[in-house]
Amino acid sequence: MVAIAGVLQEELERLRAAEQSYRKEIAALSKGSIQRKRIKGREYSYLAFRSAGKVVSRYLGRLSSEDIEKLGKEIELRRKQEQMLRRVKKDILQIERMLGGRNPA
Amino acid sequence: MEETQLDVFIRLLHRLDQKGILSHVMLIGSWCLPLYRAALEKANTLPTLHTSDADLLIPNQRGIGREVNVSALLKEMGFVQTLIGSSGWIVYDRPELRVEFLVSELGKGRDKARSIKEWHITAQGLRYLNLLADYPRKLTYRGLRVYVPEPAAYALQKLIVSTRRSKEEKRQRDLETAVAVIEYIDSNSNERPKMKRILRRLPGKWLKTLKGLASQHSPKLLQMMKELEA
Repeated sequence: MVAIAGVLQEELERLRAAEQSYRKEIAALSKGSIQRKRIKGREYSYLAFRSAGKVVSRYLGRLSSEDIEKLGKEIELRRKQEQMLRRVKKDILQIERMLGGRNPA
Repeated sequence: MEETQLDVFIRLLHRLDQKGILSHVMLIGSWCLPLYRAALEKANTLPTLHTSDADLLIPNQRGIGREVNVSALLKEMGFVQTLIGSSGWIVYDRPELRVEFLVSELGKGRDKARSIKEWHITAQGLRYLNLLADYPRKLTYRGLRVYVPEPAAYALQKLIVSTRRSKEEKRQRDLETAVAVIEYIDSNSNERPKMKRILRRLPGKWLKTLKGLASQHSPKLLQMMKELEA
């Protein structure tokens, strides 16, 4: 039983560190989605994202298709990492409950 | 459906294999136990408890060969980098698993982080890992050829490092795992001679430490050591 409690405590510490790492990485990645609009036969790209409860659409200027693709990948990575963060947080809560409190020693 | 810890672990091994670097690492730490249980004869008595840390030892840094961006590979798999302490050692976390790279630190030097430039990673240098690196065994696990330490080397290293643990609970866990692996070795006629072969090559100081631990925790190891002395 002591061994299991020790493993859980170790796991809790690991997950707390992972939570910080995911948060840091997510903060450095672009969020939102890329929208393309065709105006007078020309295609324009915008980055749409939520800010203070409102949807903001930011014109991406003359970005090359490679740059837009790169941005798309970054947004995709952010979504994946946000999913991971949710799982980390869920696991932290679960272990905290198993160890009997929010801040087990 | 969410991947389980085992799914992620196996996928990690496959990705390392695809990149041609699985044969350059040795799986050490508690993840050896499920591999021993799966691949060795009559090993189902071994403990099942393991941590989330998948420890990968790089036994021969000079033999790494071609460049592979392991850091990017892990990032693609959803791992995130976590910096440990101020030594510059970076580990890779996912909700289910942490991947750590390790290298042997010889002598009494301080345990420190080393940059493995060819793989774009850092590895932590730790003492006593050469005991594992010197006795590799190749196992077939889920269709992959994976290097792990000989169970005898694994058990002896666990015993030795238990004396360096600051946390009592970790020390106890090391001892319990080592004793369970020694019980398995003692009951297996293929493994017993390997234990003796390794014991014969250990430095006197290590043998003295092991003898003290064996007399307290493992009569079976003590018996094997006495047989060698006779």
